Amino acid sequence: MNLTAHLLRSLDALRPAPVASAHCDGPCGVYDPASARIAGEAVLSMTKKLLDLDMSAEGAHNTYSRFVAIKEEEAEKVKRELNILWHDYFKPQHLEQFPELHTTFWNGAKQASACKTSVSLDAANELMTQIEAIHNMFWASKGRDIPWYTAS
Amino acid sequence: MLLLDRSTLVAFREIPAWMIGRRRRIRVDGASMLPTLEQGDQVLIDASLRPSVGDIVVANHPDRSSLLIVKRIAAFVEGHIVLASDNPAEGTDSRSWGPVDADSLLGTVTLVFGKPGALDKNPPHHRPPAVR
Repeated sequence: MNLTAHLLRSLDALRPAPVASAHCDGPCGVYDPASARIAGEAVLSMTKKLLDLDMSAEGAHNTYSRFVAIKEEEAEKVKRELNILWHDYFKPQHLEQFPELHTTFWNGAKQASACKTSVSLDAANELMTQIEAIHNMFWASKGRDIPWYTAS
Repeated sequence: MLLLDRSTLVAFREIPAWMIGRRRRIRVDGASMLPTLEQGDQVLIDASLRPSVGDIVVANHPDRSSLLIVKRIAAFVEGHIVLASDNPAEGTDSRSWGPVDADSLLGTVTLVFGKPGALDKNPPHHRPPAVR
């Protein structure tokens, strides 16, 4: 090992340098529907909070608009995370194993939009059902049995 | 008269700049920037430089903000930047995810440790300012 490499290695032991990826795939095979699930749970939580909000309370309109903004943002995040799985992780050969793949993702993305345009517990629960279907498909494609769970 | 080659001069400028906190050290992971950068190479980046076409830069991944990527600037397109791999067979880049926001750039690579001359084909400090 030359001197520079030796010094850098010692330095890394003290303070590791951040890593920049120059990989064959951006996220380098690190995919997990958990990101979509967490965003979906946030949509569900915000929907419940909106439905429970006492609009006669002081500052309720401010709270209401904050909850709506967060719901909107998290629903958008669901769509983005689903798109990453759909476009980047799943490959044409997965269609043989999961002929319903495109429909499942389409439904999931559409349901995220439905959660944006409504304050509906049914819509938010349906979104979680759609994400669970994607979770099951994803882990089945890897031959792994990862049970569905939620944080809340 | 002491004659120093360009790589040595670059090191004399970049390493002290790093030591006083004006550069960030980044480790490269993956093979998409071969032959310029190899797996495990460490580089310094300068966040104050205005990058040009041909520069190697470190940026946030457009879909995964927590992921850093190292790529070469292929073009500027209406405020966005087209990033390319030096080794396209081993890399995803703007071909897959489109041009990235100029805001996602963290800095221009100014030095590759242990590889004098690695950036000589297009040294970031030795050309006129970028024209966009």
